[in-house]
Amino acid sequence: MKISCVINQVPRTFDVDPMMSLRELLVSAGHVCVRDSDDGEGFCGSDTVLVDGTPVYANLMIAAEADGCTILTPDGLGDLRHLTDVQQAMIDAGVVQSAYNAPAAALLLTWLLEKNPAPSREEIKDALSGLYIRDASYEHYYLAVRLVQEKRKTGHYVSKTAPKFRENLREIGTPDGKVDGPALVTGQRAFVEDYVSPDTCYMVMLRSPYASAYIRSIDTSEAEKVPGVIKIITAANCPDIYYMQAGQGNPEPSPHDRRLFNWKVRHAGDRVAGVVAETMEAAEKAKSLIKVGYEVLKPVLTVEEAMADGAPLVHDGPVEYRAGAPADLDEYNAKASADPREGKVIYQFPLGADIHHNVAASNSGGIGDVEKAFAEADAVVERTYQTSQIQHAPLEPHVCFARMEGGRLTVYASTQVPYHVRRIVGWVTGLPENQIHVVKTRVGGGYGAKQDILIEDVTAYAAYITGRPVYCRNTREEEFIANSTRHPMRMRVKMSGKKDGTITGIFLEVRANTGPYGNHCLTVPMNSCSKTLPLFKCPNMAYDLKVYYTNTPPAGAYQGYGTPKGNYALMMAMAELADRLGCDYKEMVLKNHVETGYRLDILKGLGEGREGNVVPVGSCGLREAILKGCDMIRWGVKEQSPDPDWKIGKGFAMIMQGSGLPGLDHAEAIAKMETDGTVILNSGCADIGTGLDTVCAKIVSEVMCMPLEHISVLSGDTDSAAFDTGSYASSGTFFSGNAALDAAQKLKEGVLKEAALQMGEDQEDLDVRMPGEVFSKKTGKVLTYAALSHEVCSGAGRGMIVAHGNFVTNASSVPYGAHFAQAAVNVRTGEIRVQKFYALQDAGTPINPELALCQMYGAALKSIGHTLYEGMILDKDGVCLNSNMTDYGVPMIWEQPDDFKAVLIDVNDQYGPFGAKSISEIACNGAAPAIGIAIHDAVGVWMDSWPMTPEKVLRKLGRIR
Amino acid sequence: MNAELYSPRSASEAVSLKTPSAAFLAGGTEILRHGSSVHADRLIMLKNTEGLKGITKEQDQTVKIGAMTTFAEALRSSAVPEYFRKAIRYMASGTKRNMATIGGNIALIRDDSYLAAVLIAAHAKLVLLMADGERGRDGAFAMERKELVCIRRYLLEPDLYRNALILSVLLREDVKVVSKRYANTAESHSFLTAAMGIVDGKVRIGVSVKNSGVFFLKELSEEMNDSADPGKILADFADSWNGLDIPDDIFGSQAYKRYLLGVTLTDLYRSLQEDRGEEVSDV
Ligand SMILES: Cc1cc2nc3c(=O)[nH]c(=O)nc-3n(C[C@H](O)[C@H](O)[C@H](O)COP(=O)(O)OP(=O)(O)OC[C@H]3O[C@@H](n4cnc5c(N)ncnc54)[C@H](O)[C@@H]3O)c2cc1C
Ligand code: FES
Repeated sequence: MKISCVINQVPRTFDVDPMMSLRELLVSAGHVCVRDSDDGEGFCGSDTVLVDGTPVYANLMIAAEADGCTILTPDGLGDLRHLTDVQQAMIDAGVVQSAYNAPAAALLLTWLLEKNPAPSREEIKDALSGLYIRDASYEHYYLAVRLVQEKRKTGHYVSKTAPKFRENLREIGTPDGKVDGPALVTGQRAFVEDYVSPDTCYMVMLRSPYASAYIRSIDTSEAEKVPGVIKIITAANCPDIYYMQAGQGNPEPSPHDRRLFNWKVRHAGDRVAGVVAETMEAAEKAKSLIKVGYEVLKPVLTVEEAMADGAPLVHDGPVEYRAGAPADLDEYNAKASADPREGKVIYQFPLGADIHHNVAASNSGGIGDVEKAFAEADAVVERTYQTSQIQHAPLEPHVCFARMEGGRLTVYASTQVPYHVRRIVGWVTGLPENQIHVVKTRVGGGYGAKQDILIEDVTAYAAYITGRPVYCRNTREEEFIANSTRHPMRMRVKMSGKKDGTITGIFLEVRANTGPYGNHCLTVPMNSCSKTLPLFKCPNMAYDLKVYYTNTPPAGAYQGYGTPKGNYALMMAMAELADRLGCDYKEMVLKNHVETGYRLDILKGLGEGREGNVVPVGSCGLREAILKGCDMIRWGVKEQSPDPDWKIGKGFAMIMQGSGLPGLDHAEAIAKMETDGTVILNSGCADIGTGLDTVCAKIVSEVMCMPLEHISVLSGDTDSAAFDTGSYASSGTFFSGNAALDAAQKLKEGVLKEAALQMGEDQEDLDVRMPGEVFSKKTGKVLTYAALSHEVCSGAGRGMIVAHGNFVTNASSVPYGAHFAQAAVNVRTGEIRVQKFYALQDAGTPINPELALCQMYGAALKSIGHTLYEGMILDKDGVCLNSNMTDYGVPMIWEQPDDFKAVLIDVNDQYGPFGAKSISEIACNGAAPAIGIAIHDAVGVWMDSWPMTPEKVLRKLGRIR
Repeated sequence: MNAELYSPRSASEAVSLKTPSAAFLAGGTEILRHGSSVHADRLIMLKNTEGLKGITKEQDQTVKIGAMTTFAEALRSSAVPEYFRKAIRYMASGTKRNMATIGGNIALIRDDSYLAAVLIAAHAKLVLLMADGERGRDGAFAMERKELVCIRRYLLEPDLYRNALILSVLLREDVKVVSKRYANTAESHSFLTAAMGIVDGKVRIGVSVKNSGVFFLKELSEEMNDSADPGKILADFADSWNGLDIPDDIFGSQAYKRYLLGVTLTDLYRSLQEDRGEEVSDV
């Protein structure tokens, strides 16, 4: 059918299948930013376009409906060099982060402001109500609208986008945009899907319908006959290599307990076969023709089932150790199943595991004498808390494109860990690292999900063995069932105190569910203890953690690791203890929190699989955050609702995290001065939308005294930069930022040394200044970087100025904060509304303050979602019942508290680059306890599991049984 | 989707094209979405079909809303009664409201419907165009007839109207209706929507319960109309209503949903009595 329409003011005619979706039509016409993040579910709004001036979802229209219409796509607004005021305001407000939906948001706000130049908050809410934003929350979108209005009225912004920090510095601490902001907001090609070549093959995965089963037989013969099928990879023909998918430093504190495909499937959704074909249709058809014979086994779905006597074993093969094997290993392995389909488990070093009891890892330790403390206390609280299985739900699913180029394997990945991807791909293909090129594209949402190497392994392997380009993209359902999730955990806390509010003893028992494979099985639960117990100035503390294998969908890394859960349990227990002792919770917190200089002996046993570093508390804005937050929320003042059914309460929680892993993390950066005096920084860092490239660029700009636009950061490309462990454990700003700082300082040194020679001056007399020149404090002579660099690169010069920076440390820089909630609870219906949420955090020097605020908002809203709405629900066979966006329950703009504030506490850190610490992971740690404590304050019940649903409230209130 | 596409100019043509395995393409927000409940081998696109749009005030204090009117258009119109605009707002996504049509929503007869409970409580009527008789050689039906049907009948006896085209919905302005919807998040499917109206001095109750269905609580409505203590009837009702088979599911337990229904009906009744005709208790 011939379809004529006007797209972005250009009349176009297409001869297409009228039933193709409008989105497909637009993408084929080059408008790649009209995306799809939910397989056409109509939930996320990534496909928003204007048709005849009205916002619609292009996936839910067929091409025929567009005939005769005028269409505006997000890339029709402004371009890289001519941003519209809306696009610019979004960058300035800090909301352009992972940005998968940023172009669609720009379109919606443009439409809104055209229709209504002075929209109310409710009208903005309504305009964005069909758009899912996970990274920055919606709060600064209101700010962006205000900025546009102000600029249109007065020619400039009146509102501040964020406070400025460090008056003596030019770029650091100044809200000044985002280096990749313009490209992202205008919808340029940026994500993996934009790099896929037209000759690509597609890979789809046949997945297990059973939570636990042996594969008895697998017959691919019919499937292979489907025209266009290139290769089907199964347990029968994949390499016999054991590895793990957690993107962690090598040697990993996770067991190597899987191959690309296994003979035993261990969760509903586990890989059975990967089908590579020239078209998606052929791949799907072939998938449907694979015949698999399963020997179905009884699954274990909870920690309780996994620990029961005689429980079915998730892994029951022999184990091996690369280091630290126990003396009785042979005896232990004698208990292993003789069935080779079990495979084996290899430890890089001992993790306290015992697979014959489903234990994937364990640890215990402590300081002082908790039993004595409990015996001598005025009150002891003991309670068990449970958390659900949570999905990261990034807009962009896991996606990978791999191809052979010039005899080397190139992998385009949406990843937080490009170098770990390279290593794992190297393991499964057998290729050395020099023959693998990983290109981290922009990442449309990570949150820890993309720290795990969940499809890069098999996609790269498929491209390598077939020699064909291969594209693989998880469906949204696969994101739920075959991806890493937050470990469900059961935590038992015992806490004791004295009448004066002193906490005398704390015991934290963690029982975590890692699912079928042990990704991060030690580190995530360790964080439940190592990033929570050090908040307390308590001499008697103990922890005991055990992590169980089960047949649920896998668990893995998730923003905050185990901290949100451990913190939930400890803060709730503390509030209950305060209640029991008749103390004010705030006073108890103030009495027991750590302060700068307090020696953290508890850390000794809390290293990640090795001895931890005992250090004193460094820079710490905790007390200020608590006091300021209490003022803001009017702690101690009881709020009343006009409706007697609604009761209002307040709560808060202390929070902490880390800034990378001292002694384990590693970052590098290479700075080179180009012939015109501009700088390219090849950083190993992996900016996942949070603004890490901007952090690095600002650091170079500050040190080199040159404009930001004269610095380009090329990051996450394993060919061009040197090794970096990646973006996880809140390491980005602290580690990669420090590496950039080191490189910049060395570059400056190189420039001054060369300038001394060119200028005929002593180096000590020279310094650099804006806008990128060397000057002599003695003679006043000036040499621009352009002139200097041109000279070194001329035939007679001494060679380009290149500096190699790196960073490793044993120092810890810990961000602190406190999150506050005011919640209203309906005693008749159990409904909960978070009316106010205040996040106060000490991030050291916030290098990008506006982006930092949006990180805090994003993580806080996400964790409000975890607390109240989110949770994967499995049936009795381990099949996920809510594996789509609508049923799963992510919070959107309507769920965001009306009074939502993020506040940066100004603290300068000793070790961070320009005093910076980490910002975003920590912001996941406060919502559950803050809201839980607020619910208790409102209606007097202690919520001991999340999500805290209305039904659970009603049960606690005794309204239903 | 793999289907043949038609673009009829008139309602008659549209209805003549309807077969049991065909579907009308209205806003497309259900038919074209992944995981849709509708599967069709023929799509009859209503975009260019005349006479299906528009909102007009009729005589007898009635408002007529054309089936192809989008949620957004209805929301914008001051002619549309507030009780119905409130139900429209239950669809949380503004972008979806720009696409989804009133007719499409009603035709789906969903147990998580945004509109069904309110339409029942308001005693709304539908104007339908039905194909009748045998198909002629040209595929068209020999006859067609227009029928005015009570929403209750349409929703509760869907088989009668499977091939009907909804032309419009008629809403009364002289009724008072209150409603409440429960869902995990605003964008989630509702698991309970209850509405109560006073129509011609009588109470009418409409309820939709996910995984159970859409209900007109006829007996309860009648009992209440005759009772001196309707509040008590409501409180006792939810626990003992046998006609309602509520499962334990991802939205909550049966006990929870029954309890909530009882509380909500009581609140709605209180709200009607208080002569507010507005939102039941909110913060
Ligand atoms: C993410 C998401 C969540 C959703 N959640 C809900 C929900 O919770 N509750 C809910 O009610 N809906 C939900 N929907 C479905 C849908 O958006 C609405 O029901 C909408 O009102 C359907 O209207 P439409 O015009 O888009 O219908 P279409 O998709 O065009 O058609 C739907 C059906 O109605 C029939 N139809 C359309 N017009 C007529 C007519 N004039 N006469 C007779 N039959 C007709 C069609 O044959 C088809 O079977 C959801 C949709 C999405 C994308
Ligand atoms: S249908 Fe809108 S993002 Fe998928």
